[in-house]
Amino acid sequence: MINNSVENIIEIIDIRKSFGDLEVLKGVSLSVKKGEIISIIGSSGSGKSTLLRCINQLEQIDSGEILIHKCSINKKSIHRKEMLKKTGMVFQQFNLFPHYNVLQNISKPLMTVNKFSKEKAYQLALDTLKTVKLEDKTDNYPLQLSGGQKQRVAIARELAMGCEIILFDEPTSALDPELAFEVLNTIKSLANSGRTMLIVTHHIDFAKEISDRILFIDDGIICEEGTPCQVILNPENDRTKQFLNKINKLF
Amino acid sequence: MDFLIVYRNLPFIAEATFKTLTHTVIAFAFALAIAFIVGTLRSFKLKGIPKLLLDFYVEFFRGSPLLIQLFFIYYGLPKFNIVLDSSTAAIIGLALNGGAYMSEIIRAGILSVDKGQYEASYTLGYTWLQKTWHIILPQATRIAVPSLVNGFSGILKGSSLISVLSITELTRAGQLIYTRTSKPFEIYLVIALLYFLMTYIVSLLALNIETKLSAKYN
Repeated sequence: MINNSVENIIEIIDIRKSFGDLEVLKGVSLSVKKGEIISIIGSSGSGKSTLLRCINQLEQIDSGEILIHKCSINKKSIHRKEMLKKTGMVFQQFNLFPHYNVLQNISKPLMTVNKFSKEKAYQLALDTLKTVKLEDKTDNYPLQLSGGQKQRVAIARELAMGCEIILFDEPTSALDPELAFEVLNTIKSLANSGRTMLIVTHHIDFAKEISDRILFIDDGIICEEGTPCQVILNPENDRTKQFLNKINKLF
Repeated sequence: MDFLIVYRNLPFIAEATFKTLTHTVIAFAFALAIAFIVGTLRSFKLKGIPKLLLDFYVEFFRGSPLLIQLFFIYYGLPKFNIVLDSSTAAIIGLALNGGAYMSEIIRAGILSVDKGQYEASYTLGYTWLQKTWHIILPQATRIAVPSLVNGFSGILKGSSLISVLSITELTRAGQLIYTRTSKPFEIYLVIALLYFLMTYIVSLLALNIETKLSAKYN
C-alpha cells in the first residue's frame, strides 16, 4: 500500500481537452503518489488515452493544470523540458525506430538526449535488455521481432532513459493473447521498481492484480476510482457496473 | 554508316563526357543539399514570408523551363552586376532546378514517416533538430533514394541544355562533330547511347544502395 506521507508526483487539476467540437476530457482531476501504480479502464473513446497523452504533452490541454513534482508543465513553464524527461510513454503501436537495431533503439536516445558515452549507453542498454529478457536480440531490427518482443524493447527503452513515470497507452492492444501475456508479465516485473506507472488497459484481471488504484473513465470524466477491490468487485457507479458486466461477458 | 568518324573523335568525346559528368555531379551535390534543406523546412508548418519564399522557389523552378532559367542566370543577372562564367551559371541553374524537384521528393519522404516516430522521439526528449536528424531524415531518405536517383538522371539529361552557354559538354561536342563531318546519325546515336549508359549505371548503383538500405529492415 502506498504511504499517505509520500509526495504527489503528478497533480492534475480540472483539465479539459477538446478536439474540434468534441470535448474529450470534461474536467479531470487526479493526484498520483510517487511509486503508485494506477490502471485506467473504460470503453473506447472515453478519454483514457487522451488523459495520458495530455500528461506527456502530446496533446495540449485547453484549461486546467498539470503539475509534475509540483512544477507546471504548461508551455510557459521553464521546468517543462526537465519534467517531461521524467515521464516516458509506451505506445500501442510500439513506435520503435525501424532504422536502429534493438541495442541502438535503447542506446541511441541515451547518447542523443542524455549525452551518454557510447560505451556507457551500450552497457546500460544491454543491462536493461536483460531485465526484459531480450539480451539475445541485440542485433535484430524491429521488423524481425514479434509484437511482444517489440513492446518489451519499447519498455526497456523507457526504463533505460530513467523515467520516474511511465505511461502505458494500451500496451497490449495490438497483440494476440499469448504475446499480451508476456508483455503484461514484463510490466508486472516492474511493479516493485519504485516507478510510478499509469496503465490504460482492457485486461481487467491484470489491472486488479497489479494496481494500487483503478480509475474508471467514462465520457471524459473519472466516474469511479478506488482500490481494485472497490472498483472491480464492488462498483458503486451504474456505468462502471455496466462496463464490467459487458467485459465479463466477453471473457 | 561511318562510325570511323566517332572513333577519330574519341578523345574529344571522352573529354566532353567528362565535362558533362563533372557538371552533373557538382550540380547534383548542390541540388541534394538544397533539397534536404528546402524539403525539410517545407514539411514543417512554416508560416509567413519564409513559407512564401520557399513555395515560390519550388513552384517557379518547377514551373518554368530549365533553358529559360539558364539564359536568365547567364545573360540576365549581369544587369545586377552578377557576372558568372558559363560553368558556374550552368551549375547554379542545374542545381536550383534539380533542387526544386528533389525537395519535393524529400518532403514526400518526410511526410510518409509514421506519426508514431514523431511522438516516440518527442516523448524520449529529442529536440526538433535531433528528431529531424536522427529519426525522421534517415527514414525519409531511405524512402526517397530511388526518386533521388531519378533526380540525378534528370540533371544529367538536363545538362545537355547547358550546351547553349557554350560549354563543350557531350551535346555540344556532338553538334561540333556533326557540323564538321555531316554525319548526324552516327554521332547522335553514340551521344544518346553515352547518356543512356551513364543513367543506366547510376540506376544500377541505386538498386545496390536500395538493397543495402532495406536489408536491415527485412
